[in-house]
Formats: sequence, C-alpha cells, structure tokens
Amino acid sequence: MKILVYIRRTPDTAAVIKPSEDRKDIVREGVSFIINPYDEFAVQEAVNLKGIKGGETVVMTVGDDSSVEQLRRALAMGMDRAVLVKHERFWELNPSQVGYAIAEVAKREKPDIVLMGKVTIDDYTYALPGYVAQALGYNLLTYVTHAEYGDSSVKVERETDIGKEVWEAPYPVVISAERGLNEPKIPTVMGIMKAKKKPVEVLEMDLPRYTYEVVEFNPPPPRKGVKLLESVDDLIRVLKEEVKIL
Amino acid sequence: MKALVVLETLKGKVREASHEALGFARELSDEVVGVLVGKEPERDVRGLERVYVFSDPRLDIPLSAPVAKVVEEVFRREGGKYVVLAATPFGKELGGRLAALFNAPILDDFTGYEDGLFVKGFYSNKVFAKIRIDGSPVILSPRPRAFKPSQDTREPEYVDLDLALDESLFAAHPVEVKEKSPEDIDVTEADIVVSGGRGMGSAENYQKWIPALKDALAKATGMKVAYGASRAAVDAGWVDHSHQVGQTGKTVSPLVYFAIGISGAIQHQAGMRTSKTIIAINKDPEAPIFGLADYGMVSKWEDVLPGLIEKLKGE
Ligand SMILES: Cc1cc2nc3c(=O)[nH]c(=O)nc-3n(C[C@H](O)[C@H](O)[C@H](O)COP(=O)(O)OP(=O)(O)OC[C@H]3O[C@@H](n4cnc5c(N)ncnc54)[C@H](O)[C@@H]3O)c2cc1C
Repeated sequence: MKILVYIRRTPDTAAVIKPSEDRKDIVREGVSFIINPYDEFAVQEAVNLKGIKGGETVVMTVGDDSSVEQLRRALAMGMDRAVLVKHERFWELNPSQVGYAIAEVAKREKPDIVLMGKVTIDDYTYALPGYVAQALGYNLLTYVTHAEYGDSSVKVERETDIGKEVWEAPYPVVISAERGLNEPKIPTVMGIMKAKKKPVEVLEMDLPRYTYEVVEFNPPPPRKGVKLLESVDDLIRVLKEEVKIL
Repeated sequence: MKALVVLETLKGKVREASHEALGFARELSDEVVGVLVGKEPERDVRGLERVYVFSDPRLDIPLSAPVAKVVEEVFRREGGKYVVLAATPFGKELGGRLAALFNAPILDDFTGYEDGLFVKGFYSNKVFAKIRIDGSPVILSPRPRAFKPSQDTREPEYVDLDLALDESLFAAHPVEVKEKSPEDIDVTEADIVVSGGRGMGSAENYQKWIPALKDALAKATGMKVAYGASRAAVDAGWVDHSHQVGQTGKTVSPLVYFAIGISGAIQHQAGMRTSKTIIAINKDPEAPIFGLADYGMVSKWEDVLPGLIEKLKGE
C-alpha cells in the first residue's frame, strides 16, 4: 500500500492573530506554527496503516522553506519521505492552486490512498479533498472518523449534517480526516533522530494562475462589553426585553 | 452575467442552505439557472429562469462524483460566470470537484458580499478577510445561514436531463445511514446554542442540565436550539464531538450563545465569537469568556440553571 499525505503549515490554534500594518497579511512574527490539526490525523492514519499493511508513506506540502519544519515533524511521527512543492507565500494561494499541486505530486507518486484533513484552519477551505479526487479520478470519502482498510476497498464511518454514515469505496481513494479518526502521537526522540536522515525532496512547479487576493484583513468586529446580571429574574428580563427571544 | 446554482436536495426537497445560496446568486446575477439533482426531487423551487432536473434512485443521499458530472453537462449547455452552491458538507466536497473540473478558482464558506468583494473569516474567525476573486467561471460556496433565502417568486422552466452516468461514478457509496433525529439540531443550524464545558463537573450533570435548558428554551421560544460543548467536555466523553464548538470543532453564529462552565479559551472563542449575543455563566469573574460575552452571570451554574429552566417553563 502506498499512501500520500498532504499537510499544511498553519499558525498554532492558541496563536493570537492580528492584521499586519498594511492589512494585506497577518502579523507572522512571534506566531508559532504547527501542522494543521486535521492534517495531523491524516499523518497518524498513514503511519498506523503502514504499521498494519506495510508499504510506503510520503508526506507532502505546498509551502516555503519554513514548512520543512512541519514535514520533519511528520517524518518524526513515522512517515518515510517528504516532498516540498515550493511556494514562498503559499498562504496566498487559492485552494485550486494547492489542489493542483497535490494532484501533480500524486500523479507522479501513484498512491493507493491520498489522505488530508477535512479543512485547513488558516484559510478555512474544505475544497482540497474534492479537488484532488476530481483531478485524479480517485474515489472520495470525506469527514472520516473511522476507517477499515481491506485489500481492494476501504470502509469508513463519516459524519455529516445528515447523520452518521458508513461508506465504502474501492482504491484508489482520497480520504479526508475528521476529528476522532485517531489520536496523533507526539514524536519520540528516536523518531526525531531518524527524521533528520529522511529525504526531503524540493520541487518547483508552475501553478495555474487565478485572480484571487485578500484585499484587506480586519480584526473581528468589536463586542460591546459585558453586562453583569445578578439573578435569574434579571436574565429572564434580558431575554425578553433586550435579546427578545421570549 | 449568468449564475448556475446547484440545488442540493434531501428526501426530495431543496435544502434551506440551497435556497440561501440561490438568494445570494440572485444578488449577483440577472440570470440564474438551477441544477436539481436527487431521487425524484420536487419541482417547487422559485426564483430561477430555468432548472435542469436529473433524478436517479441512487442519489437519495447526494454523491459528489455523479452530481459533478451533471453540473458539467449543464455548464456545457448553458455556460455561466458563477457556479454557486451552499457550503454544506456535501457542497464543500462538490465545490472542490467543480473547481478541478472547470479549472476555476474557488471561495468556500464565505459569509458576506459587499461592493464586489467577499467577506470570509480566516484563522477561525480571528481575522476577517475581504477577498477579490474572479474567473470564468468562479466557484462560490456561501456558508449556510449567512445569506437570506431568495424572495424571488418567478416560476422556472424545468428541463429534464437524460444522462447515462457511468457506474464508476457511484463507486464510493453509502452502505448505512443513521440519520440524526430531527430534535438533534446541528450547532451550525441552530438559532440558539447552549454549550457546557468542564465546569459542568461530570457527565451526569452535563447530560442532565444542558439538554434540559435546551428543551426549555426550544419550548419557550419556538426556535431551533442545539447543544454544544467545549473541547474539554468532549474529551471527557460527556458528549459526542460533533457538538464541539471551536477552532477544531464547529464555527457557529447563532442569535444567542450560552457558555456555561466554559472558560473561553482562544480556540473556543474562535468558534463562537460571531454569535449575535453571548451569555456566559461562570463562577470565576476572571474567566476570559467575560471578555467576549454581552451578558454574564458570575455564579455557579447550580445556582442558575434550575431556576432558569423553571422560569422558562412559565413563559
Ligand atoms: C490544537 C487545539 C485545538 C483546540 N480546539 C478547541 C476547540 O475546538 N474547542 C474548544 O472548546 N477548545 C479547544 N481546545 C482546548 C482549549 O484550549 C481549552 O482547553 C478548552 O476550551 C477548555 O474547555 P473548558 O472551557 O470547558 O474548560 P476549562 O478551561 O477548564 O474551564 C472550565 C470553566 O468552568 C468554570 N466553572 C467550574 N465550575 C463551575 C461551576 N460550578 N459553575 C460555573 N462555572 C464553573 C471555571 O471557572 C472555568 O472557567 C483546543 C486546544 C488545542 C491545543
């Protein structure tokens, strides 16, 4: 079994995010970066699956030089090798450009399974799994919370707004990870040591061009400030007179 | 300029989120063409010039691969500047497919449109971006509840599509669907969200009091009320993670958000800060949630919820 995992370098969930001076970006100094939390499930899934079925695991990202940090972490978690599709300001790309790069790498690697998170928590796009499946002609299973890998097909549990669903699809398949898929493990010292020797290949790639840009970032609209209430009666009055839901 | 709108159906009915997507498309375009796909979908949509209908018994639950094929066929006939679809879980998946299919840029999960620019929360709503996007076509997927359903009353012309879809498009398919009960409203769809955190103290407390307040509010207001949770409550196993609100849970913008025994960690705030009104009940006056809340009660929930539920029953 060959598995390709896409990850993305995103700010830590605990990071305070503020628009930069010129509003075209966010302040990046002082922000610590992590593997997009949903992509981390994808990495762990690939590592677990290799443990059971054997095969090869490749982690890739579309990113700048700093993104190697996240690739190394995935290698330390147990991935075999890494591919960096280089793009200096990757966070400004449209999801279709990132999807294109993932699909191009997949065409070369020919994995049985492409894994990634259901969403990236920086630009908040859910479009990548669908894009990649369509571009490759692979089957697609999204929002997966549990997966059982057979010899020719995979059976998953997934969660949508309709309810809990069980789906099946033959390989090759794109799977997007939802929370619950597994518990990502913190890399061991041994893992980190080994990761230093694992190969990271750097690729340059021409991406399709689109009109897509953030014209300005703004802080969230300020909130009014808190009014403290003394009693349940107060709260009921507020719900009636101010919030007007009663 | 023409817009194609994908009308997602559930049990034959066009979903509310698709009516909203249609409302948005009407703002954008003077000609709107629909793609209606499902197992015998009802033909009762308003506000479009034409609707292409494709019915297939295998599409009781929408599948993105065959639906993408149908949209491709309609686009081949009609063309269009915008392809619009609601950012439901299905729509998000289909949107990605359409972007690849049409070699088009995509904007999914945005919440506003002003002066030709789109508004979308980035970094889990820690900042808001104004975005310029253009192409032919562009894939636009508005977040459910962000736009008003179309009020346009024009009766569309219905055009039946006769397409032979390859079996391979149905290779990924559902084998079992456990539908949520209609009372189990998703936090993202609710008018009011009642969330409990670690401060609830135990599974018993959470499972007794949070649903009790939810039910009392639903009765008293007649609104859609859902229960939510912080990650601490989810990790403790008190509630399923589909109810988690926050950066690695769901992003909600209800009319009213109740945060009970929730400290208001930055990851939690990210998921609920765009709520219209936030009401916090927490025993610690220093809890960060009070920095965000519109109304706060510095008390133990034990001293608030029983009386509140009782009073709501009288409303
Ligand atoms: C990668 C990552 C992602 C995360 N994603 C999310 C996410 O999506 N959503 C999320 O919520 N968190 C998330 N977190 C976790 C987050 O950092 C906090 O740990 C979590 O939100 C805390 O939950 P809590 O407020 O219920 O618990 P606590 O922070 O422990 O707060 C409990 C509160 O209850 C109050 N309290 C105690 N007893 C009572 C009582 N009897 N009556 C009234 N109040 C009482 C206390 O004063 C306290 O303020 C994430 C963390 C990481 C690292």
